[in-house]
Amino acid sequence: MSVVTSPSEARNAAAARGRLRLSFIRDAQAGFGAGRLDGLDQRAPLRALFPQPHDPGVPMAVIVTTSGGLVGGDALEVDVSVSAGASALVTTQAAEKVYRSRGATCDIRVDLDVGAEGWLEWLPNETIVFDRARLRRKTSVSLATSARLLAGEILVFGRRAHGEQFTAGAIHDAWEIRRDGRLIWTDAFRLADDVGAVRASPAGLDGAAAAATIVCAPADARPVTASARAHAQRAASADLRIGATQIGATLLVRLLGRDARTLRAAFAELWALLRHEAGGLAPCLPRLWSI
Amino acid sequence: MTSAEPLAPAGLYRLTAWLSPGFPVGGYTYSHGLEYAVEAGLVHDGPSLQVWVEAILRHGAGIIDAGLLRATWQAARSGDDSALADVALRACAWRATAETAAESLDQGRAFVIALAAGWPDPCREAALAQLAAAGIAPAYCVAVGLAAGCARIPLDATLRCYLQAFASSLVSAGVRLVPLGQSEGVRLTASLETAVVATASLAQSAALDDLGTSAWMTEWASMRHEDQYTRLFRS
Repeated sequence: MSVVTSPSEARNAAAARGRLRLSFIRDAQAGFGAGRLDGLDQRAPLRALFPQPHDPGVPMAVIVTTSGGLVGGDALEVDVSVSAGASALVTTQAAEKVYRSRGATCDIRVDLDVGAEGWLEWLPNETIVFDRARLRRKTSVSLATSARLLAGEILVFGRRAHGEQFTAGAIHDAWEIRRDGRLIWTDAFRLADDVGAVRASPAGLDGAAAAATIVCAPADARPVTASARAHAQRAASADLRIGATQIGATLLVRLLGRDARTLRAAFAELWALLRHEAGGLAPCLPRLWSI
Repeated sequence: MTSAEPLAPAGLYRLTAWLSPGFPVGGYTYSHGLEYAVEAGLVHDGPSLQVWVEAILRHGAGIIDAGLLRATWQAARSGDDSALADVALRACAWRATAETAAESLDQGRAFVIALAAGWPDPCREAALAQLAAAGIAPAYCVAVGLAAGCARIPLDATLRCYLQAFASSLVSAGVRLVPLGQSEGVRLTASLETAVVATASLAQSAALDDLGTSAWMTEWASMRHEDQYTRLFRS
């Protein structure tokens, strides 16, 4: 066994237990669809910042992980709720790093709750999973009848800038979406056995450096799916596979890219399109995302 | 309550009948995205077809449906109606693409109808009625797991036969699409034995919450198949 490779691994003994609860309610004075922050509860290493909203009337929260990265044993809980008629955009300040582990798993739970006529955008930056890291994440979404959602995640396999690959370790990344309490879509990405072979396989990840999922629950999925599919076909190449499909009333988009930056740019473009089509918002992303 | 029971002659007869290519669930009309993979040149010969099918079994719908089948079988055997409704709903929701969702639901529906004609079973009919009342249509893996559980057919044999049938149907689609000779198809079916047995074992030993997929290229191919201009297969 080699020596410690990252300073953060020294924290292993004292695992972080971060928690962030954000709730947004409708701002009656600011008009229909507008929202404001109603509740905030944060526990290190999770913190939220509230910059000037990117869209008028849509409060924006930016999540910061103050520890500079996550190690095995860390457990984070993020809970975002948007009340009936309110809107919110939640993103992160930077890419999340998950350092290599000697055995313990880093556990992240994200709960997103959107009330009737509400709108939530969950747009975190990419999660960089270091070689030999162990990550388990579950994103649970609960939507009221007419609630709308745009949510996504990007996984980057290894520190590409350092020439590192994700050769061993474990990733389990699950999604659950409920509408009126009833499960309408679920999925789990699992990369744990034969990691190198599965990543390289033309039927697996086809040599991808990064993979992303976007789910969108708009008022009417059909036209949104058609737009996403047309865009996907224009943007895709042999190094960037993009697929879109509609499962029930939910749009699902998957991206697989051999270059993480190209994938991120394609993810951002799709996002801009979808927030416009499904949320009626400007087709551009917060400045944090344009870098 | 899993694998201790022996496979009785009647159980073997039913499994092979229910999961044979001739059973009227229309298995030969689905390619699970393979048709697009051939069109795109990703699958072009025996070895590339083997890689593709093995990925679907081990890291795609194979392992997920096997896990869902196990949970259904167990709920049926223990008469746990609430667990049955949970897993049946989860099986409908755990779908990667529109066409693979239809593949599963259409075959589930056809399987239920065929069984009602040939093997009426009050245990199964009651469970299906309860699911219908909750607005839940049985996915194919749920329909098979329920039928086997109610008929007291051992789980391990059911899982292996189910996955073998899935593998064979994919190989058969590939043989027609690439195209390949019959003996190459037989060689492929033989080579998938290890993956089928291993996937059936994993489905019995791992918790459903710990399962997952990484055969994203097969899902991507299924998404692209939705737009494929000339198509023989429904998925």
